[in-house]
Amino acid sequence: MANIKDLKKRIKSTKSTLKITSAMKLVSAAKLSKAQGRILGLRPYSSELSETVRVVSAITKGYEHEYFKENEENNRAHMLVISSDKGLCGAYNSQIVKTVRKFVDENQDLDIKVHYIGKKAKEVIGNKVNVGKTFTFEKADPSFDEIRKIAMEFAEGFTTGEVGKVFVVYNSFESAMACHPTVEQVLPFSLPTEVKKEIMDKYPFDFKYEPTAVEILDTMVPEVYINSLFTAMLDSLASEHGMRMVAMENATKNCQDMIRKLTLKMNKLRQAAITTELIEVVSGAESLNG
Amino acid sequence: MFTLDLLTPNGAIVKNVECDEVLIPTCRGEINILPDHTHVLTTLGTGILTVRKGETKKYYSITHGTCKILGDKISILSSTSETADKIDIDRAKRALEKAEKKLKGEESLTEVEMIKFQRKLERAKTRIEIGYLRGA
Repeated sequence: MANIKDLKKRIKSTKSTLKITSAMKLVSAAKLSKAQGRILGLRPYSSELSETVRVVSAITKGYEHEYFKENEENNRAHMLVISSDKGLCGAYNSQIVKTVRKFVDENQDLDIKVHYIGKKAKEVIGNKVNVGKTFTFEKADPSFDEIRKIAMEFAEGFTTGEVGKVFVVYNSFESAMACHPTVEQVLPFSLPTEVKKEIMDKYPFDFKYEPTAVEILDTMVPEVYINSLFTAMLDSLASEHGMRMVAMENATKNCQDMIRKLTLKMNKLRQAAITTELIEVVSGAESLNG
Repeated sequence: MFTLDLLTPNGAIVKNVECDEVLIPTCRGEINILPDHTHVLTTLGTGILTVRKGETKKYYSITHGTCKILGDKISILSSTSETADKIDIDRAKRALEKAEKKLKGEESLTEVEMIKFQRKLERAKTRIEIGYLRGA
């Protein structure tokens, strides 16, 4: 049976855990609100940008950009997996790992080389898949330029024909409570013929271009590509903080429950000890009075 | 009457705002947009975006990006943008001096640096200009 001293020790240690989890929760909440602001600010921009490129590239006849070139014969692919450097964020990393495994299993015909941002996913699947580079950043929040560098590295691999496809796997941010793992093909930009037709029907006219459609597209297409990676990165960051906040909130609740239970148990034991002592005193006195 | 969106990677500066007239700095000079304009897609230069609604005019600084005019909807995608009231003229002046010094200075600049400081110079000039427009 547990004694009072042991219980006291456990309560004390649970209390210090509680302090840590509640502090981590507050930190994550603060980081979340910042990250959330960034991703929600970026989304309208990036969706408008990619929509414009889709429409213009569909209605501009004969437009070719190297990022659009489908290469069916090339079965090599790069995959960028965005996970976190730190744990304690619920299912955040495990659902990414699960998605990568599933994707690799389903696409056996692709020779996928997996690159990482954040070390957690690498720790788990590093020995099972073809490992490429691990990218790190100066600060926790990567800047647009840092992402641009990474993006350009992959783009080079794509344009030189080293790989035929580039994927990115990340947690897409929905709310502080929910995020879902997503696999997105960032290169080549595929625009299926039916979508193209749909766009042509919707826009039966052409734009007036300044300077020319090709020049505009040439500057916009790389922008869209880099932007899609940047969006994935910001999505991941916001999801990470959200998941960590929720995980820490649950941990805090569990700690409180635990402390309540242990305290109750300890009080019961203490009361039992007092009662036993009292009985002993009383019965001792009785026997003396005898 | 048409609606205007001004979007940047850091957030929407203007979303679904109705206006009567917009003056847009493009890479080949300014264009003035009135209602029922034809569909246009153009790249932006650095400069001042002027938005008129009735008698009131509002100014925004914009840098490189694209502008899409489709029907009664104008979408401007710019890498940075600021509203006139958020501009700090003193800071812009300091930035202007710094950029001018760098461009005129003895230190030889690489091509990338050259472009960087030229763009800084353009941005600072635009900011100062807007600052004065706001004051007027």
